[in-house]
Amino acid sequence: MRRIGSMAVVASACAAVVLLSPGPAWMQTGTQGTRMLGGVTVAQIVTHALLAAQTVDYEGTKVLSVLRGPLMETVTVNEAHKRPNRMRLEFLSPEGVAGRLVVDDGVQTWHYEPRIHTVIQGPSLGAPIDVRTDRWMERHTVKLLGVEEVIGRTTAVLSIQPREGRGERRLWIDRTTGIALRTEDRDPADGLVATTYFTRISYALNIPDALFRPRFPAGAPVVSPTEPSRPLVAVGALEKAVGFRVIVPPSLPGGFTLQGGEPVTGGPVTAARLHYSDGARALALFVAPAGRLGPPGRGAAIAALGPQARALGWGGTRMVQWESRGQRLTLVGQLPLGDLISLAETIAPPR
Amino acid sequence: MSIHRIQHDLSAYLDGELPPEEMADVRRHVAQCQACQDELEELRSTKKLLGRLAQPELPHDFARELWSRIEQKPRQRRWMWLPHPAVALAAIALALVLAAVPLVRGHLERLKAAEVSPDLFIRTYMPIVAEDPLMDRAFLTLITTDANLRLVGDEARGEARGDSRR
Repeated sequence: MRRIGSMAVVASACAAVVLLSPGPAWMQTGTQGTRMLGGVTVAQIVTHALLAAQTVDYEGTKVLSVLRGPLMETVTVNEAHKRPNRMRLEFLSPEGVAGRLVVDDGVQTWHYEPRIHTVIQGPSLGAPIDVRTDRWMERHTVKLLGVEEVIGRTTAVLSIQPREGRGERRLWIDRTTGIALRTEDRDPADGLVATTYFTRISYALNIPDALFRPRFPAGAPVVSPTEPSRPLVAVGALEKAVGFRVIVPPSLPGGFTLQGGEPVTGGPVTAARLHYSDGARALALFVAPAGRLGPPGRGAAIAALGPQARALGWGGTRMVQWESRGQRLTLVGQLPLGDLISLAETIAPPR
Repeated sequence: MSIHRIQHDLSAYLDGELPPEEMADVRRHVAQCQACQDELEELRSTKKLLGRLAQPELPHDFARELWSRIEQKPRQRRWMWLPHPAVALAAIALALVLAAVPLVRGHLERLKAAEVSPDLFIRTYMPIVAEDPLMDRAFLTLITTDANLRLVGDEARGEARGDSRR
């Protein structure tokens, strides 16, 4: 398991207590370098937020609202977090998900679904512990929008945008702990696409380690719907692993560069996944032969990418799937849909 | 010529069917041999008796019928290796079905792959997004767990039934 040095924890805790003191100057707005909030810079608030998961334990009730297709879905969960990156989620409502339990120990995730009495195993979704604040700041534009109270706690409201591209995330950062008590993802076309907020939160609890160990009702089988794989550097090795030729653009418009690739296998699907990043946003391009992967049966049609092209969305995460030169291509990213379609046309025009 | 050969040729001699030289040989032998004279006389009597029997009349289309059968027989023999048409059709249908099974299976696999591929892709994308330190973990987990269910064959959850959560 990855570990964080105690220096970072102490530094972050000190930053929380010393730098963020309340006062009337909080109502100012400004960018990274501007001093406000009693002499605290936006960069210091961001640092505080980036390190919060490694310095604070908490337990609370959170409401998630996500735009999926034309519908905004709302889910309530009990969330427990233990340093540095362990998480336990108990789904409360609606009825369709009530009883779902997820335990993430920082290495793996176990998802217990009571309706099918099955445990589904997967990779951890825990926050990284080796965050370089300066590098993160270089790739984002951050503005302080003001100060607000959320569930009785004072928060700094930050607007975060990637340096390149569109889209905005707003975070309500707890002045004392650095935890985001509320988040909003905004899309230039669809407006608000995802929100999360705590309706209650408790800090500094002695949360038992046992909560973050996978213990589920007796008799529940453990399954893994995807086969494990390891990143492959060479294109030839990737093609050999998947068994077909792969289109590999070395870079994409907007400053996205290739980070690596790996085979992805699950059920009847075998595809090559190429991972691109511009430093702030991640893109994944999946390539599979059209002869093995049929046209998608769901999603909104995209005329610009051909008759079989479809788009799907989960909050700010978008997916477009289309066919070109006998290959089925899927592009996934946290980009506005229009930007993702433009990228898709550049990668491989429909034929 | 031996006496056995002479007696073998007596019937042909009586009917005048032997070549002239052999006819002369048989005549000379019979003139000197009492046994062959007796044998010849017996044959001559038998032939005379047979000649008195009534000769049956053949049907007028006997020859045509005979040739018709002669011609039919070889034709039947030539096609005997082929099965009955119904059996042949059934065999062809079976062969087509057997040939179609892999094609149908491949088509179904392709459709199934199309159905689950968005969930597989979004599930494998989420750990990449998790590298963003300010991303909400509960949000990532919600999307991932819904994808998990489709991948393990549970269709009850997914955006098609999202109306229950409006």
